[in-house]
Amino acid sequence: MSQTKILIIEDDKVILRFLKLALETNEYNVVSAMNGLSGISLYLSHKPDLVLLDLGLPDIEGMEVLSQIRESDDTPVIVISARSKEQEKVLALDSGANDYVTKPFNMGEVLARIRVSLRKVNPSFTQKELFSFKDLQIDFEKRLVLLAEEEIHLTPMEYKLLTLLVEHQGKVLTHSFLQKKVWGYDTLDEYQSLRVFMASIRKKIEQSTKDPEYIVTEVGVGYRFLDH
Amino acid sequence: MKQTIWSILRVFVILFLATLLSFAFEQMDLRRENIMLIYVIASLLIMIETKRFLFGLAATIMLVFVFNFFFTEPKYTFIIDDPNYIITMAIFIVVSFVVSTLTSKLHKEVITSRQNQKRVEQLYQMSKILLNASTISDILLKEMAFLEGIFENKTAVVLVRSKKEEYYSNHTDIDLLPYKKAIEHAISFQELCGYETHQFQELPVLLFPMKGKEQFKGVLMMDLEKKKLTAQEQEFVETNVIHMAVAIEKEIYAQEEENARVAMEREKFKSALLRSLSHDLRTPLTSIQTGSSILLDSQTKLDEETKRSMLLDMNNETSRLSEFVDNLLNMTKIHSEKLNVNKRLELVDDIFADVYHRVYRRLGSATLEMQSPEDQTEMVSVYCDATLLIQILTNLIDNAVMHTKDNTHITLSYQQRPLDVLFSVKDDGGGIDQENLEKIFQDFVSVGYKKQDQNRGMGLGLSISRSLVEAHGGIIRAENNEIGGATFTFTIPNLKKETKHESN
Repeated sequence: MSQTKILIIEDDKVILRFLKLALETNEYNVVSAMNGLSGISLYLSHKPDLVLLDLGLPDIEGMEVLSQIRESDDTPVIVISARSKEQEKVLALDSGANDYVTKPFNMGEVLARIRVSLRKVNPSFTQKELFSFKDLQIDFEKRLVLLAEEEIHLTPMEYKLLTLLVEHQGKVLTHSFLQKKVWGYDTLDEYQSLRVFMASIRKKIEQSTKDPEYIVTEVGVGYRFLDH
Repeated sequence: MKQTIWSILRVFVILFLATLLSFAFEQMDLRRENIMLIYVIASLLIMIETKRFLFGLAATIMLVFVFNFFFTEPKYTFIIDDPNYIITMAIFIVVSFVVSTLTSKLHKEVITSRQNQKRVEQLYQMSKILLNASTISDILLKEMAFLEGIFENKTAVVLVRSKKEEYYSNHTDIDLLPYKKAIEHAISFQELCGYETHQFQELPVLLFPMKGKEQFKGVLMMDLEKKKLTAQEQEFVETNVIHMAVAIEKEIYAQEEENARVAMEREKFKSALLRSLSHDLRTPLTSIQTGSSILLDSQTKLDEETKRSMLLDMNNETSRLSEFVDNLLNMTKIHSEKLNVNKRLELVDDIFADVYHRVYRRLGSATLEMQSPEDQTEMVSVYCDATLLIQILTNLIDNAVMHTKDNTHITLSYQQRPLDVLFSVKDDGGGIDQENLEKIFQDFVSVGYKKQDQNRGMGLGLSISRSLVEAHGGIIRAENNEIGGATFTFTIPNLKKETKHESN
């Protein structure tokens, strides 16, 4: 089977080299570009399985590259962004990026995100009977949620949110995405109700909200159900 | 009118009394000369009484005739026998003339003196006003209002400072254009010109020049439409204009001093910044460089565990560096006032989780505990900029880790209050000297806690924390606590209810 091909679009030579090194060591096939335009053309010619896209490119906006990619395909895209640029990340995620990493990043995180994004989303996911992760178990047929064998009560909204997160396990879901999926429309109130619901879910299933095992809040961006 | 009637009455009374007295003297057989002297006295009294020249003169002539009638031969007639008496009468009149002139002059002096006193008082008032005036505009407008209050003429000032022209006036309808040439002349030559002076005498305005040593040149223009000025009044205005010039000069000096001070502050800040950049960037960089060079060196044999621990240290140093860069960035933003505070409602638990994630690797031998209030039933939200609040808490925890003894126990807690959320970071690792409790929040201050060891960090962390807390409208302070360490507390104000409604 051919190796998974990853396209890296990154303008910093050193970071690019490290990324290449780490990915190749982990048996990925790597192609790279150092600016947006060559990135797009490489994308079109090589058709990679995943794209690592730095948002701070020298020639064109990272968002522009993202929309070009999205025009043709559903290829998973992970964006790389600077620490203080929250809005940028959220915008990218809501425009079709699958996940993000923040500079400076740890390689382990990048590899984990790549793994998650490459995982094929099973369309009949919710048709499966059971989901099990650590002490949490979800029985989709019976709409039952168990924590360490004990049943916990979730409201219909909470259940919906939890299953959504679980369906995209390992991936970050933005406030906007969750809001639209669960309530059907986006809101202007800064996602107050969403946050409260999420906090309530976490309170019910997490031992320590400061050091969560299941759901992590990505401040300013959204939520992620952990996969390890 | 009343005054005049009373005066006339008084004159007649004097006349009557004098005549009476004279008759008495005549009965006593006193010499005629003495009787005349009585009339002289009477005439003097009349002069003093009437104060007005013509009036006095008329009264005297009347007096002369009375004397003539009653006391000269032939008596009870207006005929004069003895030619001596004609001379007497003439002398009479001369005397009264002289005295009258004297008294009227005296009277005028009294009026002038009173006026002068009034002017002095007004000048004094003006000085008091000037003391409280703050800017140049303030000074000029107040002075002009003062002058306009006295003379009712409109005024305007033109100042020339470093080649720029500035206009000041309490009236928007004053038109300086027709007088442009005169104004320029007054300013350049610092000469009084305008109405009835050497230059531009046909203009209906007066131009009073003013200047400060090297700083500025200007002119006060007074429109004489409502009232023309007497010489004395002109002098008064000139005096005031000098006052104005002095006040303006003082103000300019004060401004320059302020600018110099600000520039100096900026210089001090820059050099402190450079010094600490140098130190606090180099320190972690050095350990990374050294560490990696050791690992690269093929001569040095290290076991896997040592290598791993070195790499771990280097990795931690990078996260410290990253934190430092964030702080530095925030600091320069704060100082150039470009800091954007984007407040949203965030859950405190979420914030705490993020903070923990950031600092747990840097704790070393310290332990960190995050507490929720015991009676907490509801989720506590805080209205803040998440990135900044995380920075505040991270800085405080880093500070506690860096400045306390080993194995410190650090507690992070919060409390929802009616108007704000109160956060506290408490440690048991040795307190802070009383006198430093305020100082530690200053830029670049790295004050030793009671622990003696080398201090890392340039003390930016606390100063940034304060600036960020204050950018949210909160307050931060430090105090020593009962478990032998320091407690830092700060508040973040809640979202005001009205704003909530507005956004709905």
